[in-house]
Amino acid sequence: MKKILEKRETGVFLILVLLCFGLSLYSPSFLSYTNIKNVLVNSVPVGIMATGMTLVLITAGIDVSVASQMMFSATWLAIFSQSSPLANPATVLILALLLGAVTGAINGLLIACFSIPPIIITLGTASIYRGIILVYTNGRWIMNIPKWFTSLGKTYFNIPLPIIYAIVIFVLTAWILKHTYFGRSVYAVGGNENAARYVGVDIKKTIFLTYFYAGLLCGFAGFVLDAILGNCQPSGSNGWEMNAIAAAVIGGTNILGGSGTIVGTVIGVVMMGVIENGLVVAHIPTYWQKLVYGLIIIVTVTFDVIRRNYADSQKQTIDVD
Amino acid sequence: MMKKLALLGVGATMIIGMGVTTYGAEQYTIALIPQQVGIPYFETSNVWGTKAGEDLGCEVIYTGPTTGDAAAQANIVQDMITKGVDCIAISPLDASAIEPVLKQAKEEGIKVITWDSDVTDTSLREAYVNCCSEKVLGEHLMQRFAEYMGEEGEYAIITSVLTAQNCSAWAKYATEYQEENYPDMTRVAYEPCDDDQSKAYAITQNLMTAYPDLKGVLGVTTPAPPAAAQAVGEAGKNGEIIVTGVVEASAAKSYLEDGSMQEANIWHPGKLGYLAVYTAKALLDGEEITDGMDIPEVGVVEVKDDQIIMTELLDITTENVDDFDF
Amino acid sequence: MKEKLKNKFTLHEIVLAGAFLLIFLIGTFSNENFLSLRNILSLFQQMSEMGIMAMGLTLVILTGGMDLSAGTTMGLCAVCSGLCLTKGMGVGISLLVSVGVAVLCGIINSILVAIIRIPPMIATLGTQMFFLGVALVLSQGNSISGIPESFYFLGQDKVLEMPLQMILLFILAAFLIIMLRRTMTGQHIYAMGNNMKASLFSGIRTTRVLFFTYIVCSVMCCIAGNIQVSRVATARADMGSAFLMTCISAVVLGGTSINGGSGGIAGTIVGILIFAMIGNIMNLVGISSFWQQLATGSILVLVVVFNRVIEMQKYKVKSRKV
Repeated sequence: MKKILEKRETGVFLILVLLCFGLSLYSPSFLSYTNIKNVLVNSVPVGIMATGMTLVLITAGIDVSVASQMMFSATWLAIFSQSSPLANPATVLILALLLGAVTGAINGLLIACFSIPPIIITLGTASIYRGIILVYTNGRWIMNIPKWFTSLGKTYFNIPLPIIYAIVIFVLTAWILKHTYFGRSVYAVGGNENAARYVGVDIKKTIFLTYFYAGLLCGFAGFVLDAILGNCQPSGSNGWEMNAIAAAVIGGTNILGGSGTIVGTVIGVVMMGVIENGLVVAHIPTYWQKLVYGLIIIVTVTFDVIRRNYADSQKQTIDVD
Repeated sequence: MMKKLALLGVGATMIIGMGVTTYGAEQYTIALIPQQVGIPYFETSNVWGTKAGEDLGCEVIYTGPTTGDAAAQANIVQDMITKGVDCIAISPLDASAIEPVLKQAKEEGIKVITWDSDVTDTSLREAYVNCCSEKVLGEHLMQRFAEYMGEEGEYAIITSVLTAQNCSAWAKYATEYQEENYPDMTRVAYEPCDDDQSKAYAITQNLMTAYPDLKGVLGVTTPAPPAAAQAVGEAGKNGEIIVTGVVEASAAKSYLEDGSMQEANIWHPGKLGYLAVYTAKALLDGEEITDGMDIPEVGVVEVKDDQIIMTELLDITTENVDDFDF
Repeated sequence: MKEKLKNKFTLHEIVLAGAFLLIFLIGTFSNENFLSLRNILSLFQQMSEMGIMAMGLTLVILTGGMDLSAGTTMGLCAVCSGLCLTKGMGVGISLLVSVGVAVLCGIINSILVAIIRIPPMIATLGTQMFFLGVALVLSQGNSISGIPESFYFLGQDKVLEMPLQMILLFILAAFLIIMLRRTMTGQHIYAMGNNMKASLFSGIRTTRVLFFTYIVCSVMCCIAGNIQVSRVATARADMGSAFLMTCISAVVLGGTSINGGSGGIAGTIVGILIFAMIGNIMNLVGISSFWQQLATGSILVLVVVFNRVIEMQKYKVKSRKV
């Protein structure tokens, strides 16, 4: 029990609960089924991206191309679903994963093989993927995604499908992190790359797989986005990569690598959605949103760093004499 | 010897290059600049505007910012000035931000007209090609909206960016008309969606939560009504929350059919683009466009001072939505 | 001859010069207006804002840090200027207030990075959103227009035919280059980028230097913001947000290592020029602006990978020699 209380994620979770409680007092409709559903469903694409981002951050890397990868996938899926006779839920899903695999693999190869700092590569690939879809579509929005596609994003028996997708991704990723060799390598590489190398972890392979997995998830996020919205705006979702990073960091992932959990990221994602929704519910103009987000990030990270520094200073030095 | 050959080659290429680019300088070049490329509304204007260029024998360059960035639009205008186009036809994102570059254009002897949305200093442009008088459109929007609303209830207006002169004007006139004629209606929110459909969608959802008695959403920019309709449809409130506004027939169709949107009030964006190019060419030729003139492909136009106004305002419902090609 | 060339210029500088020349030639051949004086001047007028921001970023990146809040600092300072100007406070006071706000932003960043020691990437991610938020609240999400004509000089005036901001860019560049090469602070910046711990142990006042770099970066963004306000006669909270990624790309393209320790202002300016030329050429030729993004990203990746490949080859050759 004490262990749970000491965990970083518990702190954020408590803040989230307090926030929701306060908002529900202010406006009873906040806790209504419709509202909660909306907040959660709208958070799913960012949530899926943030999950992939968590892995990347744990390896002490970063991927600012996630939003572009998601839109890359979403655009081609939208076009494919409308124009190809082969299009059906299964093929669209496979295409989504394929597209994500390709974009993620390109990132992974460039970063792992050439040892170029991830921020630079992903900065470049973000523009490339975004540029490709914009050039091809001329920025033109793709409307009227077929009903069989959007039905994959609707609610059945009061449970929205996107939430199910998100839960599957979260559970799967958490399991990978905890119970597979790859997962442990991710933590090892991020925690201390040299030490990891000495115990035999294949650094390059781990890094490649991390970005590859993040790409897969982005591809899937594109699929979910199309299903939810019913149309695709190739120039849309600008800046969502920052939201994904913010969610992971708020959830306790260390930007310097080595630690982070999916549970934390999920709480972070929900927190950001609640804030956005909460502001509207509290009749606060939407332009306050950014200020609140920024403050929360600064406060949470400050708190994190101070706690970590304190913990470090508490470590005892053992004199071997 | 090699060096000489190389220099000759370079020189020749340059001359040929210059020759190629100056060929066809006989016809007028008109820069057709939208608020943002990619938005279906402007894409339709592009298609028709380019067609006008072909019909009238001018070169039409369609280019614009890729996001709602007024400074980027100013840069593009500047580059068009450098390129030496004959006329700039622009729908400004920000009525005042664009003025300094338009001044530059004027100094260079380039003709300037505005279309779809105007600038604050009207001396900077020779004509304003408008879909409709702003007051008329604003009031019409509200009239149609209020009829579905039963002339009472809480409503919200979603606009594009707060600085877009056209949308702000329509919203203003609509609200004024409501305050005068429908005292039982109250406007509870006026939100910008920055012409981003997903933003408009989120705004509508949030409005439904924040104002449980919300009865209607009026979208004065084309991405807003479909997004609002989608949100209303998902909440299962088709017909309970009224959605109308400015949106193209093709975008509105599925929502009109399932009842989440009640009506679309718009003009033909393609015809507006055609008219813009037509006006530009007329200006360059020194010809006048007169009140009541019947312009090919466009129809009869009204001319008030320096405003050229298309007179066809369309009300689109499920009944006639298939009649339109945009 | 080859030896001499190799010793005088680093590989990256040669590749960069090559890329610059290539783009320049493409521009020359693609449109007769490219080489015109008017176009070159207009090019500089458009890129000055990004150039000044990128120079500020170079300083921060040289210390091994990052400032993701550069773009939104620019927007915040623009809004502050705009508000002061439209409230009738006069050019001098508005500029002073704007710079004051920039210094405050720089101080906030420095406190988070140097004192609390939050990794710069995440600290400035937070301040990026925060500053944007403040700017949005101050401007209420609106564009501030009605900037008085007395302010137009900064972005629209010309001295001897040259845009004022271009001259400003060069003056600032000269100042920064001299600072980096000839002063102790400059040396310290490079040292910290190379090895922060070693610098600390050799007695360098790292905290002070960090404060200096982040504040200078913020002030640069403030200058860029005011130039843009003057140029478009409007102030918006989101001014500069779109610049950030391009500026960081330009800094890296220009040869500054993202981990700090090597690079410089000159390379950054070449980098910005390359990106600006691409945009300019595309506008002149009539290529849709969408190709610009693709081009920007591709060039960055190509140059960086190309450099690395050659570096790796050299390393292989060296180790084989032994």
